[in-house]
Amino acid sequence: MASSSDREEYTARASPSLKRPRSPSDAETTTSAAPRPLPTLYNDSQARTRVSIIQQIEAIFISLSVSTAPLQLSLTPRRHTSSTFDPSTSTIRRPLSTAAPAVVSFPRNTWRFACILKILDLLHESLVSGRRPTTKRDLFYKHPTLFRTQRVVDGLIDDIAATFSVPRDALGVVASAKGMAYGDVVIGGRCFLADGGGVLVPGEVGDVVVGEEVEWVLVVEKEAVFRSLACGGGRKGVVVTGKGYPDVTTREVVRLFAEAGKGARRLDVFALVDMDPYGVEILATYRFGSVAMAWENHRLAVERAEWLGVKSGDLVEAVARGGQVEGVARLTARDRKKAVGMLGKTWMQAVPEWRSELQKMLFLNIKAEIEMVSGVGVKEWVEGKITARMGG
Amino acid sequence: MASTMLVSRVSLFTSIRALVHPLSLSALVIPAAIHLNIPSLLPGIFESILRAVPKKKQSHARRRMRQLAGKALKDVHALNKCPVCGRIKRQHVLCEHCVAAIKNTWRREQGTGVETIPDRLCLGRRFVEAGPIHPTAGSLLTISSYEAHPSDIFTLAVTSKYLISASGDSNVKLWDIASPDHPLVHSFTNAHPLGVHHVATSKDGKVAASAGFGGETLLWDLQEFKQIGNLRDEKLSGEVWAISLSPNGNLLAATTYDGRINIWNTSDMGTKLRHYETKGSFGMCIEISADGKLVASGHENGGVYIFNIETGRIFHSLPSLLKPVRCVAFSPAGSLLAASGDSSIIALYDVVSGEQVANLAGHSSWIFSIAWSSTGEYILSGAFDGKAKVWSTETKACVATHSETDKSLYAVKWIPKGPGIGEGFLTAGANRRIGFYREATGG
Repeated sequence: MASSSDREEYTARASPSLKRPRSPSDAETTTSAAPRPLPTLYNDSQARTRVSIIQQIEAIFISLSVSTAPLQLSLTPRRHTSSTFDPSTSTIRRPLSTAAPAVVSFPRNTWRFACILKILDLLHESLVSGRRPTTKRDLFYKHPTLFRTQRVVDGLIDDIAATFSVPRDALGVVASAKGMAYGDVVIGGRCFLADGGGVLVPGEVGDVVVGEEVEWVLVVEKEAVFRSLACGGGRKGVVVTGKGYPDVTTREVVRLFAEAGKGARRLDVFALVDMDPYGVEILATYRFGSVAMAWENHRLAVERAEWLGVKSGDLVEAVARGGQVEGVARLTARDRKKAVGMLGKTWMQAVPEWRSELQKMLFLNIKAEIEMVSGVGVKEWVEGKITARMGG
Repeated sequence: MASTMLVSRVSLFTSIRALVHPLSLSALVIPAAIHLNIPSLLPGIFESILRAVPKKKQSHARRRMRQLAGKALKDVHALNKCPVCGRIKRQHVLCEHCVAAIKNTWRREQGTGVETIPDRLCLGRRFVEAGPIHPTAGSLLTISSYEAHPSDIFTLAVTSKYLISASGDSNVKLWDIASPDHPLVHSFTNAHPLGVHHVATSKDGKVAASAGFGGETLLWDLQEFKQIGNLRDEKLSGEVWAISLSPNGNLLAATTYDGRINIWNTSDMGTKLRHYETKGSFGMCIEISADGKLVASGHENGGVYIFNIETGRIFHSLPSLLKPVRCVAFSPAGSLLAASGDSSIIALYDVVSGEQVANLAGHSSWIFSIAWSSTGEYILSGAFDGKAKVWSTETKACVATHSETDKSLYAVKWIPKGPGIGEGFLTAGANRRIGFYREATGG
C-alpha cells in the first residue's frame, strides 16, 4: 500500500499539530532543536503506526494537564476554503500552511471541546486495547447525549485524522460497510465472484489480486444497477458500487484496481452514473477526490476514471427510438443551482467534456436516470459501450 | 514525577497554574509500552469538562410557554450610561460597545494577512479556424461547414452584416455573413466564464445581447464591438434564461426558471418595465414580434403565452402543446406564430384570434429551433436528431430535409437577403460547427 512508502519519506518531519499553542519558551527550544521543515506543498502523511498515534493523543492530554496556557486545541481546517484543485496531479489537495487552524477553546466552545476530548479518549481506549477497529456508529453510541448526532462524530473524526495527517483507519475507526464489488478479484483474502457480489468491509482492504482475464473496472452509482450487472459470470470486468457518494473504502478499492496490473496492462476504469449534477459530482469524487477528505486524495483519486454514461448522446438515441422515454425528468431549481455551481469549479477545466455535458443538461433542462437505457438491458448496453470504448 | 504533576491539577486549575513548572512536550512523551488510562491522566477535570457542556437547547415553544407563565428570565432594569461612549450599558459590567471597539482594534493590529486569490476561470482555448470542409455542390444548395467553437453551439443570431454565434465556451463570436468564406470579424473573449446559452440581436443590427450559464446578461454594441450593459442580479439566480431584443433594441424580454417574463429597458439597465406571471413552468423560449408590440413565450409545461407590451396585459394563452415548447417564432408580417418543441410538430397560431391554424408534422425528434424566411414563405426547423427541414407555409408540407449530421441541431437561422447574398440558411449545434446552406451560384 501507498502508506508504507510515504511513511519512510515523511517520518523525519513535522510533529503532530493537534496540540495547544506552546508557551514562548517552548517555541524557542523547539525551533533551536530542529530547524523548521522546508515548506512543502502538501502535508499528507506521517508515521502511521498505532503507537505513534497513541503517543500523540497522550501528549495532548498531558500538555492539557500541565501547561498554564488557556485550554484550547487547534484543528486543521478541512473544509473547501483550504482545499484546492491541483492541475499537476489532477486531484483536489490540501496545501500546507494556508488557512489558520480552527481553535477550539474550553470555556468558549465548551461542547465542541468536550466532544473532541471524549473522542480522543475513546480512540485512545480502542487503540490501546488493540482490538479490531470500531465503527463510527459505535463511537456515537458510547455517548449519544453528548454528541447529539452521528454527523458530529463523523466530522470530528475526520478533523482529527486531518490534523494528525493520517488516514482515518489509522485511528482505529472505520465507517459501516457501504461499498460492494463483483468480479474475478480477491481482496484481503476474500473472493467476489459469487452472484450478487460481496460487501467491501472497511479496514479489511489489504492486498488486491486481480484475475488474469480482467480488463476493465466499472463503477456504478446505484445499487439496483449493480445488482443487475453483478450476476451471470463474465470474467472480463469488475463492477463496483459506492451506493451514491462513495465512501473511503470504495474509493480505495477502485484506486487499487486502477493500479493493479503492471506495465502496459492497466485496467480501464469506467463510471456509470445518472445524467444529473449529482452524478457528475459522484464521478468527480472518484476522479479528483473529495474536498472533505483532501488530505487523503493522493491515495484515493483515480485519474483515469472515464464517464461511460449516461450522457446526452444516449438521450438522443433514446428519443430517436421513439415512444415514451423512461427515467427522464426535468431539472429542479436545486439541480440547476447545483449545476451552475459545479460549472464554476476549478477542476471542471480539466474535463471539458463534462462541462459540455452539464451545460447541455441545463440547456435541455433534462436529467436522466441510468434506468433510461434499461430498455435494451443494462448488462448488454454496458458491455457494448465498453467494447466500443476499448476498441477505439 | 509525572504523576505528581498530574495530581496537582485536580480541581482548581487557576490557583495551581502558578505553581506548575512549564514542561516541554518532548520531555513528557511516555514510553510506548506504558499506556495510561485517559481519565486518570486528567483526574477530575475530564469529568468537569463533560459536565460543563450545555444541555440541549430549549425549544422556542417551551421558552414561550415559560415566559407566558412568568417563569422566564426577568428583564434587566439595572442600567446606566457608559461614561466613555455615552450609550446604555448594564450596571457594574463593562460596556459592550467599548469592548467590541477595543477587540476590533486588536484584530486589525494582528492583521491575519490571509490573502484570497480570486479563483478565476480561464477557459479560453486556442484552436485553428478550419476552412470549408465539405464544399459539395448540390443541385440546390452549396453546403459549407465551419468549425466555429470548441464546444457545443447553443445559439445563433443574425443581422444584415453579422452572424453571431455563442457556445459552451466563454466567447461570443461575430462572423461576416455577406462574404463567401465568412471570416471571423470579432470575438468577445471570456465574456461569460461559464458558457453562453442564448444570444439575441435587434432588427436594426445595432445591439446584441447574450445570456450566460452564470445567470448574467450582457449587452453589446455591434458598431464599436464593446460591452454597453450588464444585467446581473446576484440575488436572483436564474432570473434570465431565454432572451429577445425589440426591433430597435430598447427593450429586452427574458424568461425565468419559474415561468415569469420580464421586460427590461436596455438603455437604463436594471429598470424592469413589465413583469408577467404565468403558471410557474420554466420559460424555455421567448420572442418579441417584428413590430415590437407583442411578446410570445413558450414554457416547459407546453403553454404558449402572448403578451401585449404596450398595455401590459395578457393577449392570448394558446392551446397547449402538452410537451415542452422549445421555440416560438412570429412570422415577418406578425400575423402567425409558430411554436414547437418535444411534441415534434410545429403548431401555427393566428396571432389575432389565437386559433391554431395548422400543424406541420414530419420530424421524429424534439425540435429545438424554428425560423421564418424573410418573406414568410418558408419555415426552417432543426431537431435533436440533427435533421433540418424546410416547410412551405402555403402548402403546409415539408419541401426539403437535410441530414448532414447526426448530432443535435440547437439553432437554425435564415441568412437575411441582401446585395450579393442569395437565399440560404445556417445551422449549428452539438457538432460544434456552423453549417452554411446557400443557393448554388454559377452552377
